[in-house]
Amino acid sequence: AIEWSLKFRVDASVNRARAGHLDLPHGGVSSPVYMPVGTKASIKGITYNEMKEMGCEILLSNTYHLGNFPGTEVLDHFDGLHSFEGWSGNILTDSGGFQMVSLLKLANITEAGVEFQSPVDGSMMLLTPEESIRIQNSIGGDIMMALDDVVNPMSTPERLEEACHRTNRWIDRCIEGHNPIKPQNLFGIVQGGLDLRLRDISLAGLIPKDLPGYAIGGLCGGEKKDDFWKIVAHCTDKLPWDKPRYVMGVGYPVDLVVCACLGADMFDCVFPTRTARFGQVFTTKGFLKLRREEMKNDLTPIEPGCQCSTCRKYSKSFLCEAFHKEEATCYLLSVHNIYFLLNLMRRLRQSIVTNTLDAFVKDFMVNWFGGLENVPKWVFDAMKEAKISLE
Amino acid sequence: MEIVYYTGRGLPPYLSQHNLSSLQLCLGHFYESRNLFKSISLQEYTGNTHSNIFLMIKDTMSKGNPIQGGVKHSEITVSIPKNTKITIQEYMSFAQDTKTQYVLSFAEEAVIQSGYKRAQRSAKNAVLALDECLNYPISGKLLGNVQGGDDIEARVLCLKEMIKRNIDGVWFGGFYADDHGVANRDIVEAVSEYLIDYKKIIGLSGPGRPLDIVFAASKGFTHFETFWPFKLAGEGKALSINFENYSLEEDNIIDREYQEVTIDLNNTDFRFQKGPLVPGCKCMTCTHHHAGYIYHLLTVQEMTAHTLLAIHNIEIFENLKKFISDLKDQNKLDQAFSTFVRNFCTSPAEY
Ligand SMILES: [Zn+2]
Ligand SMILES: [Zn+2]
Repeated sequence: AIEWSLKFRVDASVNRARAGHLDLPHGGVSSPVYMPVGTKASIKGITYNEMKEMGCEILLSNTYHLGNFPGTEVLDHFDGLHSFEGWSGNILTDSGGFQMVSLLKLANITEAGVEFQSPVDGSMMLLTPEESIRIQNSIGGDIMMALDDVVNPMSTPERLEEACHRTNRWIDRCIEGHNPIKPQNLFGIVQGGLDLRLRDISLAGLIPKDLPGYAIGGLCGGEKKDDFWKIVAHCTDKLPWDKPRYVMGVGYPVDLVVCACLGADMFDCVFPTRTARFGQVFTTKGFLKLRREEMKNDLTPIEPGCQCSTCRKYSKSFLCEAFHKEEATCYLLSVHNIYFLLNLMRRLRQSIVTNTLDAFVKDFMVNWFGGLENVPKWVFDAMKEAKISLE
Repeated sequence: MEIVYYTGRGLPPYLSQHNLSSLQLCLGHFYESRNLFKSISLQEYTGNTHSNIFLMIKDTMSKGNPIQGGVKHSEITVSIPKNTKITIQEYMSFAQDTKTQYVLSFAEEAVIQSGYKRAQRSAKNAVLALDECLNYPISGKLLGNVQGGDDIEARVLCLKEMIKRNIDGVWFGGFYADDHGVANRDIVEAVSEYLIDYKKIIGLSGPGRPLDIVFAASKGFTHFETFWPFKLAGEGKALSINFENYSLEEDNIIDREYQEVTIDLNNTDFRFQKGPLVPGCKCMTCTHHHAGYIYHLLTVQEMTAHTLLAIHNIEIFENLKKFISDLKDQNKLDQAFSTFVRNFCTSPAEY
């Protein structure tokens, strides 16, 4: 069996929620943690120095994009992504499968792997579990994701079940294909759509592999909130306590808080940078859209007291005026949004350590939704499951 | 000697998180918000509390003519915001409200290559406008905005009038950036003899190429507005100058048109290039990133490429500042230009 280098410990817990710590090749990561996404080895004009200053300990990068550009030849030449991009913290890479299925029209999944048409020359290509791991070995991320059979949760029950079994078969091929030059850690992905029975099949196949961590996949934001939290709760309940759990593609602040309360530790999403492009920012009082007409005389920052470099320097008035005319301003908004999520998770972790999680969550929800009466029922239900009182 | 970096609206291009010691801001971007400045300075509003602000009317980056119809000396129509008329009194009260540290006097600036008569008129109007500016007190320093287009005689006339006034310095505006970024060296040369004993600020607007800055510095100019580091960064280029090693050159006659050495990171040669953009450079980009990484970012059109290149180019400009100051301290400023050209430039043929 492979000796994985990741060491995970739970420093404190409140019911299902954990204040964890991941010991990884490029330093420690305190969890729960939001992982900003540097798709093509960069985060929208934000330098890695700035990411460090924001307290970011782990970034996510996309195998599919990096496999295309710069490609493994270049990555190998530079001795992996850390050295290539000059990031000294940790990196998690996805498997590339999700990107293919979502970005490419002609992706077809067979037992061999994901068949797709090359965006470069139009030829048919195949991403196998072995090939995904080979690229991820070249990238040299601290955490790699196993290639899974990505399937739309609205597919037929037969297709969903097939994806589940196939993902479990592919895990062995991923492990087989793993040929690292430096220490790396492989996470398996729990599949099964919205069907608890299928989730159990997936869990039963994965857990015996004794991987260093597990991800909960197949939750893409299209499902009902009730289904979403129940799947997370179901999976975190069955996954081993002493391994980190990563809910993929979740970046909405309320979802992060709910999932962390249900025992999830890691999250990633491009939402903070994507929504910044439309002039939307997170605040403790919910979403804020920068509107020039309303805010041109507002000299307060996006979030009073926020320690991000944008809030320390700029008022809403200035940002609105600049955003109105200068596209680059979305960079300033991205800085705030990323900081907001990093800080939200830090504060949540602290409340676990000090055993004040109930008060923290209540405070967060009341502020976000503008009063306890506006907090949706699904949040109450999820918090009941997490044994967190909002009353 | 000071470099005044172009920002337009207060965000240096690609570098909104960096503190630069002096910044150029353009009136038009803030004029609509002028009521705010009763309670906040322009420095605070733009998040540049560590920088000196130089308020100018025109935006160097605007293509074409940013100021239209400014034929009267006392009134200017600024195209941003939409054709707003601004009087001298309004301009000066804006400068006072915003507590801007350095204020260029009011002037019509779009007069390059517009003919002898227009040049003469712009010079005369600039002096009239300066005199009216002097009627309005400001807490910052007032700099006479020397006009006259590319007409040497008009520039000299304007300058000679302005240096008689009780102002904090003069500033040569009205130079636009063309593709080569060449400021008018003939004008710089011609006016310099009137500035020998002028111990105040002598500023130069324009694209701010290092070559032009060194030339003007050798002629006694002290302040230089520039957007060159950002222009190059936007094109994927880095200035490749190492100021650590050079030999002093006395030969002053340089006929050929030289250019600063730059490297173009779009070039596939950089794909596998390990190490910094410029060996020995101490900037954040060079100490943390490979040239090959910047090539990659340009290939995939990530804006971080421009940020990292701007950080590097700014470092070169800060080193340029030191290069000029050091030569000045050694009383060798007259050798600055030839030293710079011989050591750090290449002719277009080799370029
Ligand atoms: Zn902020
Ligand atoms: Zn550098």
